[in-house]
Amino acid sequence: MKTLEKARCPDCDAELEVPEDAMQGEILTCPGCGLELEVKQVKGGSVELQELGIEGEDWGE
Amino acid sequence: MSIGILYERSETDEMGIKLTARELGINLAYIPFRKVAVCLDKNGYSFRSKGKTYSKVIEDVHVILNRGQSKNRRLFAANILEALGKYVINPPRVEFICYSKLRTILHFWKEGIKTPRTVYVPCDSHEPTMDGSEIHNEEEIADLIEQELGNRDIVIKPDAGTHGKKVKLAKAREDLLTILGETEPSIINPVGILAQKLVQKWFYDLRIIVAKECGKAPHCYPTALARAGFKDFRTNTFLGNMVFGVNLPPYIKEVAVKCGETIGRDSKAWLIAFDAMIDVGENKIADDEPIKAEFEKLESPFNAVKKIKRKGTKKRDFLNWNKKLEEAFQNYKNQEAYDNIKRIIEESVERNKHNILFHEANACPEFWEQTRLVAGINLAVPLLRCAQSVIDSDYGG
Repeated sequence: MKTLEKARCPDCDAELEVPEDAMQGEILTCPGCGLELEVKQVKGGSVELQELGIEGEDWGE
Repeated sequence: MSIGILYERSETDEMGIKLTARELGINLAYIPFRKVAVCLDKNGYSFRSKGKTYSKVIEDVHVILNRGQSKNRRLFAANILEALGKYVINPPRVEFICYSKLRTILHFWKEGIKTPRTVYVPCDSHEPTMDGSEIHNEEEIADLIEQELGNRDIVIKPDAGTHGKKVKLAKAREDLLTILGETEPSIINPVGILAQKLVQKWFYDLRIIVAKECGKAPHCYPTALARAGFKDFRTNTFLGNMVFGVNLPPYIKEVAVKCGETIGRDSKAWLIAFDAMIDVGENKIADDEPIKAEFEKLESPFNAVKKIKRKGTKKRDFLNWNKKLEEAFQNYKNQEAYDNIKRIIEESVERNKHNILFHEANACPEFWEQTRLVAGINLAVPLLRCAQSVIDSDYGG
């Protein structure tokens, strides 16, 4: 699999392999901790990822 | 032996804990708790995500800060980690009690700590029958509640809810029936109806922090976070209320420590945030209108704070975002109106301190954005101290 420039998971700092054909809106999962990241933008060889918000059952206090 | 931190996904609190740990020279090991498999068998256990094994990380830590945001997940995490031989902050006992408003109140009540007048009816508003129809219990539940609390100003709240979610005020029976009709069993309210008589708390409530390090007596922080506003009977900051750092009278600190001892009991180290209201009733020290005018003066600087809090860059550019948040809060706190409202709250607290009612305990309090910047308590420090105290005690420091 060809990959784009490496990105890092904001939570566990694991390296994420982003497929070359990644598209905007695609969801990637960090192999280290399972965090879901959405591809926001693919430009040239780089990719912008953003953490996907999940509706939790009782977040916070 | 070191300290670990567990969460499903980091929020600014967890990033703040990691930042504080770095500043204190503590290396925190990260343990995810969502897309992982915890496997138990006759050979021991494994703790793995799809791409990484965390079993060794867990073996190497002695104390784990449990920062799961979901109460249910956090409770499982506490139980699992304790079974794996780890000391968890907070321990499962504390998590279990804090999970439920009713359990918390029962512990306070048993110790003679004043709480709001509370009624629990173990029956759900509507129940499906075997033939596929439904029994409606709203009228009977309303009768039971009104029998104890009267027919005006009754608050219905989900037992395990947060952020003021689904907390509703019934001013009269009609409202009560409507609220009961809308109340379904759910993950935040597994069974029955929890009702309380509305406390005449004027316009503020208090969040009070108590922590216990191993080998030391519990300590109540001298400043509390007052959440204040006239917009709603709920004062949760999540609903847009303003925040003030207020000094606590010694009497309230003593009661808060008793709350902590009641819930923490024999646990070596813990940290709990207590929510309390003061039944001010008619004993107000000022008219509402001039205070409302002071709140209006604070709208703009507080909106600036809220705008920064909402920024999507908070995780991507945490340090810069944090600096901006600190500046915005400083500007808010520098306002004369801030001092005026803070003074009124402190005076009211002092005058009515014996009417304080404790009603909720939080085992995983949010703190980075408000408690730290307004009440001056960076909870990451006591959390890490509590963890270190357990290591020192168990391994001779």
